[in-house]
Formats: sequence, structure tokens, C-alpha cells
Amino acid sequence: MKRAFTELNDLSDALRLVLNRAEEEARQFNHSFIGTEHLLLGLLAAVGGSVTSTLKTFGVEPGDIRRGIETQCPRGTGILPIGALPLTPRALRVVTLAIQHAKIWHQSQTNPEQLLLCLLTEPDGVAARVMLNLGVKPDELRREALKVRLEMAKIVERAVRPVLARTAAKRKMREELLSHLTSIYEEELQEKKEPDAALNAAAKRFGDPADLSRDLQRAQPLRERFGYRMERFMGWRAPESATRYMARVAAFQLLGMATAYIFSLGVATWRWGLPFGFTAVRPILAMTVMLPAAQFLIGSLYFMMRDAIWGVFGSRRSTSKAVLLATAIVASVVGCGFGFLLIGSGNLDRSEGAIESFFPAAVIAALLCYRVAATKGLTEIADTHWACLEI
Amino acid sequence: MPAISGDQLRGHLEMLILSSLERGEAHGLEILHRLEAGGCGLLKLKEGSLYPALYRLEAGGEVQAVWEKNQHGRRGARRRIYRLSDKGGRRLKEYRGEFQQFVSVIGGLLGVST
Repeated sequence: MKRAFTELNDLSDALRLVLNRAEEEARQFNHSFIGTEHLLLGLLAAVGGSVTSTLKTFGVEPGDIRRGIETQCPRGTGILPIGALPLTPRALRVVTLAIQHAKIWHQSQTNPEQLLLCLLTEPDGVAARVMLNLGVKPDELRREALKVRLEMAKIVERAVRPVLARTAAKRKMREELLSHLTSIYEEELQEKKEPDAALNAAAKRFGDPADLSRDLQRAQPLRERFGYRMERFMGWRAPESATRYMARVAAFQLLGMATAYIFSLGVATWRWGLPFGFTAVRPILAMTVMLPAAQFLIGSLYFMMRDAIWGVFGSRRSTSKAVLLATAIVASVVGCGFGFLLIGSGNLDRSEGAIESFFPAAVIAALLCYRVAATKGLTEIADTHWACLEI
Repeated sequence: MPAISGDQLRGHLEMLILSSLERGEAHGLEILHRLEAGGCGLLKLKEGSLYPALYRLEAGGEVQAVWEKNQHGRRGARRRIYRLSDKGGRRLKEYRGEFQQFVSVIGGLLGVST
């Protein structure tokens, strides 16, 4: 099972070390698997320093953690297998999530604090239970552990957010500016040794975000400004929900289609009179109703599927849920197709064979959604996290 | 001697960047280090303001940029590597001529020996 994440070949040296120590811990407990409790002990053993001091802000010492785990998990009795011990599904989820989180904040390597936080996303795991029993508060821990990184992201975002440019252009600015700020923070940290002082010095060297924002705006070509307006008009507006976003797009589409329908109905009635004029433009009526409906359904399902694939925004990472949602997309496309026929022609008698033609299209649509969610999903998620950052 | 602030550099910063890139491609921080080393510590520039200038140069085709591929074990976001383009090289040459003229004319009027 360890293979499952080495395939992600994203394992940083720091994380590899933690996993090795976790395995040693598991062996000491005579357990034939690596669970969240071993990850936590491995983390303390391999990293110490920053993780220990983060936990100390809650008055929790490494010794408390070990004692807590020892009371909850008795030593194993069986004979241990030869070779690498597998991770439990829960532990694997934690590791994968930590790697993902690192990507969202443009870190090429997973940092130990991130793993600590991810341990708390599995509240039924032994590690989370022990930490919670000792009085660690997940929200406060998040703030404490990611404090410096989050502060740097905020400085960058204060400069980037007001700029009228497309998301793609902003994505580039965010990463590059964050990289610069991180480098000068590290330079300052070497000198000052104290994170807060180093952060202040780095922010001072970096300059006032408001000034930088103005400079960045001046550097944008006109097409970026135009692109921004277009995105603002039809794209997602932070921090609205996916459902609201899709409803807005669908409502806009409905308005456009309704206008087209009324216009063509007027022309057809004037030309042919009623009731033939009405019958002639029925397909347009069908489109007016079904296109926004399809847009809303498929769009909303897409976002739910994306969140299930990546386990973000309160959604648990689950492939089976994602597949279920893809099936729901197939059903929506077929349903909308039939709705179109029903409104467009008034009966389904003439639509024999429709299912044969709708079904392949629906499957292709669902596969396409799945592929986009799996390949582009993380970039979208990262953009969303940035845009929703409280600055 | 008082330091030269970012405001005084406005208008010249882009050319200073081009000139620093003549010595080879570099990422933002490296460009800054080159400028600081060349300016004997008298250039006081807010570091963030380097990037808008780089973006303008990039939009004008005077520099070309690529994301770095190898991070050499560095943690954190990727950097972009900037390289002087042929167009940028020509622009720099022109600017040098213009600046020389500016300095000799204004310097003469101010009574500064150049």
C-alpha cells in the first residue's frame, strides 16, 4: 500500500523521513500497519522543532502525546511481516491530503506542519483523538502552524487581488511574488532567527502591497483589463458558492434565450399566424427552458464531483462519490435531452431511438467533466483558496 | 551620500533590469542582488516593485521568461527565470545613447562635469 503514494512521486525528503520514523514507531508497537498515531509520533521524532513548539502553544508536550497513544493503542502481539509496513487507509488519506495542500499553496514540498494539520482532518483517527483529548483546538492549530505561510500569502494577495487582470495572469503573479517573499523571509530568518521579526523585515523589504498593486495594474496590457471584465461577468465571483455561481450563469442564459424566443415567436406569428407560428418556434422554447437547466445541473454536479475527487471544501475525498456524481451527469444530460424533445415536439412518440443518441453523448460529457476535474481541478481549487483568503 | 529611492528610479528601473540581464538570465531576487551590488548599496528599492517592471518588459517582448524547472531542493513557490531578448538588447543600446545625451546636456546646464 505504500506504493500507492510513492507513485505520486511527490514525496519530499522531509515527508519521507517522517514516514520512515513512523514505520519504526509502528514496529516498536509491534503493529503490522502504519496508522495516524504512528505518523504523529514519526512527525515528532523526525521533525521536532517547529511541530513541537506549535503543540507547546497548547501546553502539550511530546511526552503527553506518546502517553496518550500508549493508553489508546495496546502493543500488538502477532509476528510482523517482512518488508515495508502498509499505511492504513486513513493514514494514506492524511498523507495524500498533506501533499495536495502543499500544492495549493505552491509549495513543492510538503512541510511537516501541514501533515500535523491533516492528521486532525481524520477525527476518528487515534492521532486526532489524542490531540483533541489533550486540548488541541483544530482551528487554533491551523492558525498557529500556518501562521507565517498564511501571512506571506496575505501580503501577496493584498497586492494581487485589486489588480484588474484575468485569473491566469494573477495566478502567475501570486506564485512568483510568493516565491520572492518566501526567499527574502528565509534570508531574514537566517539572520534574525525569530519568525515574527523575519516576517516583518521581509514585508518591509517587499514594499507596501497597495503601492505594488498600483504598479502591477499599470503593467497590465489592455487585454487583461478586458479579460477581467469578461471573467467578472460570466466567471466565478469570490466568495460565492458553486450553486449560486451556476444559478447566476443559468439565469443569464435564460434571459438571453427568453429574449430570442419572444422575438422569434413574434416574427413567426406575424408571418404565419397562430397556432402554426407557435408550433414553428417550439424548438426554441425547448432550448430556452432546457439549456439553462442543463447548464445549472451539469455545472453544479461538476463542482461537487471535483470537490469529491480532491476532498476539498468540506467534501470528503471519495472516488466512489465522484463516480456516482459522474453517473448523475449522464442522467442529467439524458433527462435534459428528453425534456428538450418533450417541449420541442409535444410528444415522445416520434423520439424513438433518442435514448441511443443521447446516451453516448451523455457518457462523453460525464467523462469530459471527470477528466477536467481530475486534471484542472487542483488549479481551480488553488485559485479559489487564494481568492477567498481573508486579507 | 543619500540613498536613491524607488521613486527616483522610476523610468530607469526597466533599463537597469535589462542591463543586469546582460550578464545572463536570472530570477527576480538575483536581478535585485545584481542591482544592489552594482549600486554600492545606494539603491533603495521596494523589492516587490521589480515585478511590475519585469511584466512590462515581458509584455513588450524585451525579456522572455520561463518557470524554473529545477528548484534545487528549495521549498516554496517556483521562480521565473528572465532572459534578455534581442529586442531588449537593442532597446538597451538605444537607451544608453539617449541617457548619455541627457547626462551631458543636463549636466552641462547644471555645471556638473561629466
